[in-house]
Amino acid sequence: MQKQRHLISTFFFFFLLSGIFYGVSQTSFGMSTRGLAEVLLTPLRAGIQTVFANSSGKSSLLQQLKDENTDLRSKLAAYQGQAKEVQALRDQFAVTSINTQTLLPAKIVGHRSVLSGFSLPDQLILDKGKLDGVRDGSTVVYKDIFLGQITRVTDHLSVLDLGYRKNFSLTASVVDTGALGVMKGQGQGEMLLDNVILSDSLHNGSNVITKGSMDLTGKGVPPGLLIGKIISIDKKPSALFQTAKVGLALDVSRLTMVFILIQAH
Amino acid sequence: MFEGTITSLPLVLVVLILMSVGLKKADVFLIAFLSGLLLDVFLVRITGVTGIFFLSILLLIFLYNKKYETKSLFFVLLATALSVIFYLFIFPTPDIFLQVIISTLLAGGLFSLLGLFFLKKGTTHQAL
Repeated sequence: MQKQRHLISTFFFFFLLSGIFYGVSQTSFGMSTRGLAEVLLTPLRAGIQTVFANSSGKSSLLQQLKDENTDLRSKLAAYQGQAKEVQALRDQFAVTSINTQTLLPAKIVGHRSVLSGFSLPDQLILDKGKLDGVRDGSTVVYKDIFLGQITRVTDHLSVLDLGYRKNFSLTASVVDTGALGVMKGQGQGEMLLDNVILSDSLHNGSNVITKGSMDLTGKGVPPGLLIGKIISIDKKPSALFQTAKVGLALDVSRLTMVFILIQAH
Repeated sequence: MFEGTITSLPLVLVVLILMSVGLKKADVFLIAFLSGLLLDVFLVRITGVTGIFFLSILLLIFLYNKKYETKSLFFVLLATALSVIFYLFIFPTPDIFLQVIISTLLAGGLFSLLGLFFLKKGTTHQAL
């Protein structure tokens, strides 16, 4: 009976302590203390992350060719986007100005997948946070490729939800045909371009880019970032919309560093 | 450390369940509290929330232990499966089914191994 009382009292003690930590963590003191812990632990995590990234991602000729291919696709998408812009300017003399954005390099310190090397992660933890200018909803890219958006931020760390994560969606367009749709994450590296009207044409191999969803403050996803390429099309005359499966533009599991788009002040 | 960095498998939860079944001491609460805090920092969660979950699960296991025998493979598998499902429901990660299966098998495997190890140790002591 005494043992049981000791057990219950120990439980309540630590439960209360956890509750106090929960409450204090919302205050500025709690956040700065947490920030200190993040700063101390991040190098260790980065080291583990580097070891596992290096051991699972040895470069080979095939991998180099894949990287070059990704690079060229990114450039092709940018070129096609620029060609359309030039045409639009010529036609209408429209001038738009987008707030200048700066790229903040961020190391990946958490690479959470069920089994590293066998399944793709759908979230990455980055070593940049509020104190570095990262905000909830910040877009993350690698070269000109859209990776995802920041969903949680602390003083020194942030969580990136990758574009193929389930329940993630954003507006997208096909570069060569201009077809518009909604890119929906399906998990495990798969994405679906949905809600494309039947009259729009889709082709296998076409590049898909972000349509853009920036607000007046410059927050949101900028247009023109490469998402991937169409690998299969599902078009039924009886359906309202057609869909297309989109393959990733790069192998996320091999990344060690990404770039966060920060609003310049 | 691995759970916070390279895998989303709830390894800490599995270890805590095994410790609570094997040791049956209140010290496990301290380990649950500290590991919960560390995980909250690694996984960018609100500080204390993981610890609250771990403590609650361990209390349930200890209370169950008062009435029934918990040092059995069946209990370890069941407790792990249910705890992991609940954990992944509260802290969503993809592939819940796969994670539950792997965690349960891991817990069962570790429990069997540790059981064999302590059984052998007990036999050696008896022989001496």
